[in-house]
Amino acid sequence: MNIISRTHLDRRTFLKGLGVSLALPMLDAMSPALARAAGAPAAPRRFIAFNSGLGFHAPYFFPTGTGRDFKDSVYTEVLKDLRGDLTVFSGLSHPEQSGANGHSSALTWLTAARRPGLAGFKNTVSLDQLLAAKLGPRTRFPYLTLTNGGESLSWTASGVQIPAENSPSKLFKQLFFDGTPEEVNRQVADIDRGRSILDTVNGEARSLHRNLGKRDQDKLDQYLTSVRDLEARLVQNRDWARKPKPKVDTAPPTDIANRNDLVGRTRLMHDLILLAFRTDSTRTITYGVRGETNVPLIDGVSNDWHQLSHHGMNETKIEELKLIELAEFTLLRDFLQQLKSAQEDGRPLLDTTTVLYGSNLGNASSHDWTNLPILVAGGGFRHGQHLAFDKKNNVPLANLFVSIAHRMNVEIDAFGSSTKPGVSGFEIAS
Amino acid sequence: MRRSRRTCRPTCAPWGPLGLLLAIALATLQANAAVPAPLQTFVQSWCADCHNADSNKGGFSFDGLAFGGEDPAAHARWVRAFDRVNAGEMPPKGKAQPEATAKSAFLAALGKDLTTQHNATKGTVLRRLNRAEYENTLRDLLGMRIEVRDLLPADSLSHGFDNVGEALSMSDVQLARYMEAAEFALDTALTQVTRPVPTKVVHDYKASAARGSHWPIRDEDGAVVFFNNGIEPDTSLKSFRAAVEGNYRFRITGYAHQSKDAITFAVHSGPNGKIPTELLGYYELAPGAARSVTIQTLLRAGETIKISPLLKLDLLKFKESGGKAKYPGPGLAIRGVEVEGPLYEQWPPRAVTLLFGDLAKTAKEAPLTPPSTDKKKKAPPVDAPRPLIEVSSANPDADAARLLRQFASAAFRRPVDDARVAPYLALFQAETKRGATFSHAMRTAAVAILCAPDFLYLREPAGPLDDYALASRLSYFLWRTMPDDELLRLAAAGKLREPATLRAQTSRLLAHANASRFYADFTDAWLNLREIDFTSPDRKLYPEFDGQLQDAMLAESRAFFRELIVTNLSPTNIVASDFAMLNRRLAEHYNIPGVTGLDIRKVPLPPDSKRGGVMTQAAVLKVSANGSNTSPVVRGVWVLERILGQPPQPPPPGVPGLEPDVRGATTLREQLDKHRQLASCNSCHRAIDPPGFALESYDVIGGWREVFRVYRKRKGKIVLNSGPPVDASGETTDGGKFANFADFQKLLLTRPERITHTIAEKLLTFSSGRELGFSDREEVNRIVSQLKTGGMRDLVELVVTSPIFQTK
Repeated sequence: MNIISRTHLDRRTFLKGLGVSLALPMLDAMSPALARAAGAPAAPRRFIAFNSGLGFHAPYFFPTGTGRDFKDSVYTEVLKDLRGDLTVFSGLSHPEQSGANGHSSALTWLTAARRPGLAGFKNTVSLDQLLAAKLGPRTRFPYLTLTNGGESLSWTASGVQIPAENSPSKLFKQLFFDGTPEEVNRQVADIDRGRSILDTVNGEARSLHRNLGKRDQDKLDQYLTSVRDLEARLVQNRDWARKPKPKVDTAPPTDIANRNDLVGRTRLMHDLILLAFRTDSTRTITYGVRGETNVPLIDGVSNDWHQLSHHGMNETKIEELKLIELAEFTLLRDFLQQLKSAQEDGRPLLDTTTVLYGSNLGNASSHDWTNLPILVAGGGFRHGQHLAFDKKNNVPLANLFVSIAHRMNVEIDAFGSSTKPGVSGFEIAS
Repeated sequence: MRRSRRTCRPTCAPWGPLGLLLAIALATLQANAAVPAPLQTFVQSWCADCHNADSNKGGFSFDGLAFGGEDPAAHARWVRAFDRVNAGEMPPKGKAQPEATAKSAFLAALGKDLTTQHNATKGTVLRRLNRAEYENTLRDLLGMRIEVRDLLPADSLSHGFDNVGEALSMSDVQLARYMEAAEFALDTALTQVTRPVPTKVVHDYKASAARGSHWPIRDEDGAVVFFNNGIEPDTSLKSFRAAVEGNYRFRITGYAHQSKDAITFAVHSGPNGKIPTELLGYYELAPGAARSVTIQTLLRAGETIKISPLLKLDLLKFKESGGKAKYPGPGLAIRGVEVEGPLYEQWPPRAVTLLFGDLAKTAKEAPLTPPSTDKKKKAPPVDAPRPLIEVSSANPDADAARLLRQFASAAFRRPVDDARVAPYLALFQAETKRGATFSHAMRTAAVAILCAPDFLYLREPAGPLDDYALASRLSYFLWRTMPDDELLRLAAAGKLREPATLRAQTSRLLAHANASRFYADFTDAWLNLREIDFTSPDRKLYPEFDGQLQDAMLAESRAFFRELIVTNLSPTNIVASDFAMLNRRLAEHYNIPGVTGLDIRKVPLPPDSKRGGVMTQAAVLKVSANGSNTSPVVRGVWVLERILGQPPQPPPPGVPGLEPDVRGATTLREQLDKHRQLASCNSCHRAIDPPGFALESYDVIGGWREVFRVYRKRKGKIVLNSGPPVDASGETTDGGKFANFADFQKLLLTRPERITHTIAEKLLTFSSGRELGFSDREEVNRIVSQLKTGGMRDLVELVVTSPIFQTK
């Protein structure tokens, strides 16, 4: 008799009063209370990163020709109506991504840390977390980390992976459900209690600190920093707790249990991402898409995604893979179009939202992590081009991250392995 | 200060033109001021010609390479230099070689420096409990099977191990989750005063069967027969739902119907009303008289189980046969399912005793609904939080001080004095002052204790471990949880460090059921089995694969490691063994006759068997493949890292990965043959590729193959076809030729100490929570030579009595 031990739990919404909770009315249409008056700070800038962990078949992704005259690839053809709103990159990658296994570069797609998963590896802060920290607590949620069931893309400054939410219904609740006055009071009391607990352990850790060696002290410093950061977070949450959450006229979504319904599940999450941005609930979001061993419910697809990505040049498999990837691009197109038609202060939300879309694998069939498929849409860059760099000697992807940070009004000189503060040819639209 | 690009000619004289040498020496001396002069001279003479910033052969340059500092990467480079020179691989063959005395002087000097450097920085750094350890500890501390693992962020791995202190980080996100987990755990543990009364009720499927499904009710004995896999119609036991969280025992009584073989079925658990999906295990019932299978499992309120036979209904035959009673196919006949529960090992839960002692307790307990067969009755809400126990205390401050000290001592895994408890007592008092009841204030203080560094981290003093730290190390090594009372008692008496006691305790821990966590966690980390789910094999190519086979694969490798320890077998069994741990499903997969049943057991292998040793185990072969094809590179790296303990360097920047091409024009092997002709690739791939070639005879799910499986499109249809023949021959770096995997095993067995060395290193890393380094080499060598002909159990004893294990 072999009993396999149980390893799950989901009996309660976590972070009930601690990590998460949020605010602010809908932009534009429903937010007179928050409309930015003349002379108020410029429209907020937003960032979202999508990583498709199983890559894109390169010949179908990369356009031919460079600059503004590029000829659409199979996939960019899907986005042709948005040509002026996006830039396709080739020849970008993070250096030294050989890691513990072929998919290790997923850990570092937004961090650029080297040698992921190998001995002595410690991850570094991800771009979204750096932005969220620099932007400060201006929204109820400093950030959202989402996934369709795979791994989170977001890492704290100390290299801890931030768990990602994969349930649209839970996310909707966090974003838009106000508790009863009683619940709010309890939440505030819980936060206060949490702060007392942190005070206590902080004192304990400090007294412990004195008796430790240097390396243990470094570890404990990380703990003390965590206590401080969490304390600050609780203070922010306390401020937000009594402010009503934005009201939306969308019905709460129902989660799709079928893991194979890739399209349905992604679309639900896309809708919520739009709502989160439109209500200014957050300004940085990451969304990790990992197909794993699912057979997506797409006509003509009968093999699981991961396995198809290892097509080994088999044409039948490549054709199946294409169907999945075309579905991804259709989802992206719809998402971008919705961002474009949503208005904020009389201009498209897309113009203030930088969308980074791509993969940590350049060729998933061989786990090659160079020449990554990357595209950027929106954000107010001068778009409409294919910026092609050396396919062999790649330009660091982190250079692009610096451009994105600047666009978010976060002034940094470098990020991770960047060699230049920006990517040549990729400029802000005047 | 850069030198112009020079290529290293085979003829280049060791001392070169004097002027040039001086210039070079001067240049590098300035860059590497910390490198001692004798080392500098050797490096200049024999290494720097190729390994300078410009040539950067093999991606290795000595220019500007720090020495003796705190940079672990620089230290690792010098260790690599030491190893390559020591192994005679550098300077490379065909180049001028240093004299033996110069070389040994260099190695001695460098070795001494590296030992000193490593000694200064080694030691297990303040180690946070990882997710599994945290959950196990919380469960044992509170006496509840609380499941919090999935709420915590994933732990970072170091060399595949997720319990290495250096790699385990902390952040506000992590801390917030710890706080929530502690609150959740205490909320669960501190709600019930009265022990729920267990009931025993027999359920059957007759009511569901009567509603015209595919299930006949047999006239003979009233058994309900399932012909299908339980998806349609759903075979959940809908008439039962757990009234409260607790252990429940299920006795499933039935037999195989219209089948000469036993029928296997899976049992899952999950909320009644949804399809239960959590696999509890596979079981089987034989034909003939009805027998019972007993399963005991933890259920949460509202949950039930589901019985899923591994059967497929032949729909056509079903229609033709004229009704469910006449269908001739095999079925699983279920006469009844007796459910008993909830059962508790300990009452009240340890958390209640620890936190509230013998103080009088009351609770607003919702009346427990007994397991009901009435469908209309509303189920108890699964998520409803139950109110906390209330406690009355005549002297709250004194009681709190006493009880918090008791709780903190248990949580911190060592006795604490009043001074250490003072902050938590202060928190308790502040909370009561704010109006909290005794139990709520105690709960808040307990959450603080569970978020304190002394709980979350394994704190070890510098130098040799004290008794309590040793107790924790031993317990976290072999049980993956906090030390039990016996270990703590021995620690308190100062006896645990006595070698005889330590060995006796090691035996005791290994014999306990908790050791299964060690067998599983260690095996999974060592062999990389955490990735067993990472790919699913191509269904067209491998139709024989299913979830049951995968579960059996995992069980095989863990059982094999357990067997090596329990029966104290030689580490050489890792490479080749005359037995395998199999059940019927695996034996069929391996084409080994005569194995029946679901239980994994020891099966002797004939001398010419294709199996034996971990490398032939399906789980290993699956995690080293991608579901469609196998790469000798991936498998070669796997063997080097995990069997030979010689992880290769990652490929230098700018080297593209090989692209598998299954169309048949070129095999990966042919591509690799070309690859190895390039000198820069050859230095690593001559070591990496051969073990991978030897394993080519095993397909992506560990089946034996003579030819590659491929499928081709023919007239628009996909047909399975035989691909090119497998070539499993090769030559190891030291010239050993092999024609197949069996030959390769023999070659590895000529160096048994290498195998012992690797497994010793892995066990030491896992048990001490740190990566081993240069200064540990002597001790590892000592252990290896001391083991001689000893077995794996002896090795575990050598590990726990080693200074590496007993020192921070």
